[in-house]
Amino acid sequence: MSTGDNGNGERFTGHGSEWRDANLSPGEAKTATAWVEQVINKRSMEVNKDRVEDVRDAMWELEKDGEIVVHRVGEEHNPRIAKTIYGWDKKVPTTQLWHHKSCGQCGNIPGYPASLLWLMNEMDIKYLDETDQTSCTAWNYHGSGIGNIHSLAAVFLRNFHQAYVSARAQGLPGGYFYPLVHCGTSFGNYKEVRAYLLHSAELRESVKKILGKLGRLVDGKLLIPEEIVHYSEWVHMMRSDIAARQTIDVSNIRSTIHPACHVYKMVPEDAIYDDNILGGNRVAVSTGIMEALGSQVIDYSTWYDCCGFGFRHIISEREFTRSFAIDRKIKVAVEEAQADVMIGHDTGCITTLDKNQWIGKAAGKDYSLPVLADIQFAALACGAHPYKIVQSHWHASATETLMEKMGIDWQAKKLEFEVYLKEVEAGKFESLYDPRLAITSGPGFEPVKQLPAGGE
Amino acid sequence: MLWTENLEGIYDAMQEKIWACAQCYTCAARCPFDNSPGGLVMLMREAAIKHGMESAKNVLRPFSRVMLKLISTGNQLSPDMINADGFPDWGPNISKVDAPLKILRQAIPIPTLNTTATAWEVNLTTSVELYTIWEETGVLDQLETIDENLYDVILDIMDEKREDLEDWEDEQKDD
Ligand code: SF4
Repeated sequence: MSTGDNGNGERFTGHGSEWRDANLSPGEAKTATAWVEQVINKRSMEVNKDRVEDVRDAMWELEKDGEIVVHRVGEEHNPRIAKTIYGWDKKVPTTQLWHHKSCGQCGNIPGYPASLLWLMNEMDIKYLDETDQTSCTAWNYHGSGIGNIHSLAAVFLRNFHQAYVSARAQGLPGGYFYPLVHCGTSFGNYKEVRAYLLHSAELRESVKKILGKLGRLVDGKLLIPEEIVHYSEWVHMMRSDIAARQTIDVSNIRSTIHPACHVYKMVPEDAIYDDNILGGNRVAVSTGIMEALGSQVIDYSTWYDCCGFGFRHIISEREFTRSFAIDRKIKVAVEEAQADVMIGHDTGCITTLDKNQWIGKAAGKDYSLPVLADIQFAALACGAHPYKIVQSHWHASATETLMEKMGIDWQAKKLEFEVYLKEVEAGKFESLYDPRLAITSGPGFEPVKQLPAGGE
Repeated sequence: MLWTENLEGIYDAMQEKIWACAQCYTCAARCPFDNSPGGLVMLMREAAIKHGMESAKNVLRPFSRVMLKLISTGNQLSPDMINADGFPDWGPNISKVDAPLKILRQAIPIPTLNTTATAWEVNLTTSVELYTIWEETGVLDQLETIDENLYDVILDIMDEKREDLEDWEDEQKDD
């Protein structure tokens, strides 16, 4: 992460009192870090490294030895093949998906998952959204240090086992639904944990006891997913299908992409790249859908930087978070790229970049850059209701200016939503799917047959 | 490792520096030898907690509400935590449409999200399974070292939820 002077003679804070300035002149600082910029701007940063292995090889070996069961991405999941950074294949399932939600998205920016489910309904994608899941618990781990590899592994295996067995509640076979991970941190964490599990017999043995106690083994073995798939990868592989449903021209929109650290810097060998997308030098997700929709994707010099979320910092070192978000990302996107929107694909990044702009005004930094997730932008472009579906009222950033540029009459839509709220108050609310499907066991469970496309 | 000769340096880093890390993994991506300073920081944070370091306790105090939510429900964040008092720097309106939180949440077209005290509705059996994970992996012990009061509160919640589940299971047998 870059730190230091933000160009205005101000410092980022939150480093602690022992922080010492390197006292480099701007020229010296540039010389000292120029090599980094040259290297990070290229995908060669990763592909020139040694010691990289495809952890899936170890996974197939362990399955052959009878140690684990692999939850496969089968033909029934209509997989599409993506290329990862080293040109390896990654199978991305496109239907029969188990939504593995993100606590930050659901609590804070609910239009993020709602836009995803809405588009899936539009495209007749089968899915399940259910209550039997916890968060990955990794936000807490990365923020506080409470938790450990054993707890993270057990939580991962429990959630993915539930995805595997969930369809039985509808009389369907095990493995029917394949987990689709909404959160970037969950995605990075699960991949990291899967690698530890595949490499450590000791870890497997210790979590197997716990999973056994929970009744969460398959044929007495640990269940490991063949692929760990982020929703942005689904969006990426479905980008042409999504663009085919587009009703709003977005060719006048200048978009900037903020790639999430835990999506492509953590376990980078699994991130998707495409030679036709920004020369294959940037992770392909999000840029792919924005280009498919016809928006102008504008590159900017700090694309590589983190958003400033910091896990702990967004809660208790907020000055660090907002300085970083505004000075390293928002300001650069506005001044360099003259962006109309910043697009992300992760919970923490969208929250940080969106919510921290308001306070910037007090410091004379009013950049008013709309911030949305790729799927929210895609849903808007495909005609989703900006309030009922995209839930743009939870965004603190100026989403209204983006909507105006897209030709959406947000004021009329807002009025419609306010009228709808009266109906909600009277107990009449709309749902993207049959709510009875959401409980697959335990209190409140009643067997329901699978509905077409998961929706009504 | 070079650091073994500088124990004082490690101790100093564990007071504050390790908590400054944003866990962005930029260091790991840049390192030509595939080292991960950010990963090392996580191990040092775990060690700081294990040894109940005062600095860890101080740093984590503002995090206690988040930990309470996460450990008791499996969700780290809930809609009712996000309000103008808790986040004054996010602006006066958490929602740009003015309505009670409960109504706004019911207007999200995903039934599992019509909640205010958790980010989504978590099945009771799920929470109880999670408690077993916390117990078996030493997470509750970590918590006790760092914040005894929070630990007590969480144990009470766990007992209560386990009893609720047992009651429900008994009802099923009776039916
Ligand atoms: S140590 Fe690594 S993970 Fe932590 S803030 Fe620095 S670059 Fe990011």
